Formats: sequence, C-alpha cells, structure tokens
Amino acid sequence: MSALSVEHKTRIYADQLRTVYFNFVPALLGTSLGAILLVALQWNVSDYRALLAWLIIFLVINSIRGLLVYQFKKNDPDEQQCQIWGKWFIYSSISAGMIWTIGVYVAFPYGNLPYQLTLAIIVVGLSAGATSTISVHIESFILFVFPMMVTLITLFILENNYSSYIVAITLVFTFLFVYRGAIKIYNSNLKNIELLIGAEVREKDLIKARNEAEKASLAKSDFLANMSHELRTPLHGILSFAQLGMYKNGDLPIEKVNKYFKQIFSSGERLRVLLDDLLDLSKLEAGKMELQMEYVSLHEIIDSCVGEQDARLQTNNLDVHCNYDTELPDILCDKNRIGQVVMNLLGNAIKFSPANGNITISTELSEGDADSKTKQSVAKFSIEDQGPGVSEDDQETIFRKFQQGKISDFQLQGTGLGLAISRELIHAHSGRIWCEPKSTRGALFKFVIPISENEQFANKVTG
Amino acid sequence: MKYILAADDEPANRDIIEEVLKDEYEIVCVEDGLQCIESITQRIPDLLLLDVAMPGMDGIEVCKTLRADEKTNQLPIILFSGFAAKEHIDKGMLAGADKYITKPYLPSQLRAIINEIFEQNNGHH
Repeated sequence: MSALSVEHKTRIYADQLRTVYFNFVPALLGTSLGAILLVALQWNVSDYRALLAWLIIFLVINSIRGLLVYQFKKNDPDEQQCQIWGKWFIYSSISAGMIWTIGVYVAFPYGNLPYQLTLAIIVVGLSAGATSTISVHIESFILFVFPMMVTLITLFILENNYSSYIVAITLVFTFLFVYRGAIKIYNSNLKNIELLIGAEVREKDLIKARNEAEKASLAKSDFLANMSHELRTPLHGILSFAQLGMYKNGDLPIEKVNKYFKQIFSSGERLRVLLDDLLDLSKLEAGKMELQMEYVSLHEIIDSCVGEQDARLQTNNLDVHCNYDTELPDILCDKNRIGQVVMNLLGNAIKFSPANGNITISTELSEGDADSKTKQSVAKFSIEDQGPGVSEDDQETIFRKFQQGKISDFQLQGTGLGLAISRELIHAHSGRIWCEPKSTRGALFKFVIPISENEQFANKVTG
Repeated sequence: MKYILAADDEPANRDIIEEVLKDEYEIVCVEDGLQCIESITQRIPDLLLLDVAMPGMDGIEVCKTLRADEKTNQLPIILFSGFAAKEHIDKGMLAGADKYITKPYLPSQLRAIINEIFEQNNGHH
C-alpha cells in the first residue's frame, strides 16, 4: 500500500465505499428485522415501554441511513466526493452502533440467562451480518460492532456468576473471530481493487506505448517524405541545368553557361546546407555536439548576423531595430552555435516579413528564468517581425523537424530543420527557446540562456 | 504556339521550365497557387505545370479547384513534386491531375511527357 500514489488511495477508498453503499439495503432490512425480533422476544422480560421507545428511535435512525444510501446512489459521487460520503457513512455507523448499544442495555434481562442468551444470539448475528456487509469499510464495521459487543460482554460480567462469565468469555472469542473474518474480507477486497487498478494502469501504459509507437512511426514516415522532398528539389536543379548545358553546349552564350553553373552551384550549396543541418541535428539529438564555450558579447553575435543578412534586408527594404540592454555582460556560450540560432531566427523573420517591414531584436539581463526555474542570471533574446505570425496551435510544433511553416501536407518552406536545430542548440546551452503568443500581427521568438555557471559544457561533449 | 502555364515557388525550377520549353511553347511562370488561379481566370492555358508544395495554396488545392470548374475541368494538368511516396502520388491523381512527375526529372523527360499529352489531346479531338 505504501507504494500507492495518493490518487490510487483515493480511488481505492471510493471503490470500497461504493461496495458498501450499493450492498447496504439488505443490511438495513436485516437490522430492522433483528430490532423487531429483539423487542418481541424481550417484551415480557424487559421494560416494554423502554423497548418500544428504543424501537421507534432505531427505526428513525435506520430510515435516515436508508435515505443516505438513496442519496448516494442518486448523486453517484466521484472519487473526491466519496471522501465526504465516507465521513457520512461513519457517522451513520456510529449512530447505529450507539442505538444498538442502548438496545442491548435496555433489553438485557438481569438474572434471566435464557433470555440473556437470546439477546446474545441476536447481537452475534448482527455482528456476523455486519462482517459480510460493511467490513469492506473497516472503520464503520468497528464503530458499529465494538460498542454493542463490549456492552454485552460487560453486562454478562456484571451478572457475576459462573454461567455469565462463561458466556462473556465465549462472546470475547466470538467477537475476535468475527473481527478476524471482517479483516480478511477487508484485505481480500483491497487486494481485488489493487489488482483491478494495476490492470487498468497496465492497460493505460500499453495504450500509451502503442500510441507513442504509432506517432513515432508516423513521424519517421513524415521525416522520410520531407527528407526525400528536400533532397530531390536541389538535385532536380543540378541535373536539369547540367542536362540543359550539355544539350545546348555549342549554341550557348557565355552568360547562359555562367547562369547554369550558378544554378548548379546554388542547388549543390542547398544540398550541402541540408546535409550539414541533418548532421548537426543528429549530433545534437545523440548528445554528441561539441560546444566551444567562451565568454562573448551576445550583442556582437547579433550585429554580425544582421551584417551578414544586410543584402537580403536591403532587397526586401526591411529595417532591423536593436534594443540592447547595456547591463548585459558577456555570456558563456559557443558563439558560432548561438550565432547559428540568431541567424536562423533572423532568417525566418526576413523570410516572412512583408516588404518595408520592421524587425525588432531585444536583449535583456534577467535574474532567473521563471519557466525553467533557474535562479541564475540569464540573457534574454527576443526577435519580433510583422509577418503572418505563428498560430497558437503551431507555436510548439514548429520546433519539431520539418514543421516550420508547414500549413498542409505539401507546404514546406526552408529545410524545416532550422528551428529544431535552434531548440537543440539552446537546450545544449541549458536554456530554452519558444514562440510567444502575440495579440498583434507577426511572430515573436525568444530564447534565454544562463550567462555563466555553464562551465560543464565548456569544450566538453554535451549530453 | 501552345500556351503553357507553370506554377512553382522555387525560382530555380521556374528557370528550368522556362529554359526547357520557351523555344517550342509560349510559357508563363507564376510563383504560387493563388497567382496560378488568377492567371487562369484571365486566360486558360493549353497545359498547366503545377508544383505540389507551394505556400498559400498548394498544387493539390489548385488542381481540385480547377477540376471543380467546368471551364477548366478538361485542362491537362501535370503535377510535379519532390514528394515521391505512393500516398502523395495517389493524392495528386485523386485531385484530378493527368500526370504526377517526381523530381528530379530531366528536361528531356518533361518535353516527352508534354508532347505525349498534347498528342493524346489531338487524337481525342
């Protein structure tokens, strides 16, 4: 039981309680019959007025208990609500235990052993009945049976004669026997519920494992399809321009030849970038990417990236605004790899920005990162564009392989590996990267990385 | 001279198509699916070369849209793509394409397929 979670304990308790409530109507009828029998049998040997008053109170209490069962079945409470219904059942058992204790006291005929034994038989019968009906909820069983048995045994002892002592001892053993039976039923029921929960948990685990395997298989198929597309497209450029050059060899002006060679070169270059990306990603995923850690200025990295993209920025007439936090010190990172991340994010911003748009890059020194729970000083980077933005559903999936800009099965832009690589690189720097929801048009990407205390990564193999 | 419209978001692919076909056909290239539909509403070509993976409106959607319109439901359409799995080809053919060519294809193959389609159409007429 100790290994069970709170959730399982709550579930077990609810199952026990449902077993008790749903089987309780026959118990109520049985005890009512027992009470009427007790009054009828002891009518002439005990104070009949007291017996009658007791019977009325008993029937009222039993009716209330019946109402409780009716309400439970009607409400069909969930596992959490069963905790409260459990308390109500305990109160109901205490009331029943108390009324039976009073009944034993009122009906006990002093000095009349045969009728005393009749009473004892009824009480033992009640206890045995309670074993089969409420022992699953063991607290209720004890609170119901214990007071009346103890009272009966005490009354026999107080009779102070040899026969009554024998009966009292017999009752003690009977009580212990009944209690042992109740515990056995309780444990057996508990084991059944645990087995049931275990089977359910295993079934859930199996379903989860099957779903994950199916997802992995689907992801693999998607990856291969996208990979095929990404390899075939530049290969198509290489083969086509090469054949065009070959067929028109003699007639081609030099400008055309140069153009064909340029196209072959750029297609080849695209293949090279794709292969490099794939290699990077496989290294990162296998934890084998070597990071050359040193203290460098994030602002210098950003400036260098913006400089490299100057031609594209001018072609699209885009402005880059940099809001740098002057308090941000040099950060410990692999400058080439962080540069790769910045370049990827900037490249996406340029690609998706409308002409004449603005791209805003900001940095910030922050004490700790709320989401990743780190207390270290972190460097925050954000880049915002005025493009179509990223839908809320895609904000997580775009960091998966070949998911960037994927709108339908056939709509891919770029190799689709850039954000997946960026995420792995930022993770390798103990940071995190995400796409933030925006109320206005455009995409907002952010990453944070610890400024220092990252020495474990310096010149080491990650992972 | 037959008029061929080609839609492909890759500039290099548009260049290839132009280089291969410009001597024999009147060829116009557009960059995406929406431009393609817009161009067809102005003038219906004799043949449409349609890339599958395009931003905005992909080739499959364009194909379906054209097949749903009685003015273009007989227009010969060749889909081409780097997606070469059977499920992708099936999707293209179900959308109503006459042919689905997987990249890389050679200029000579493209010419042969276009000739074949035009000859078939001439035969029917």
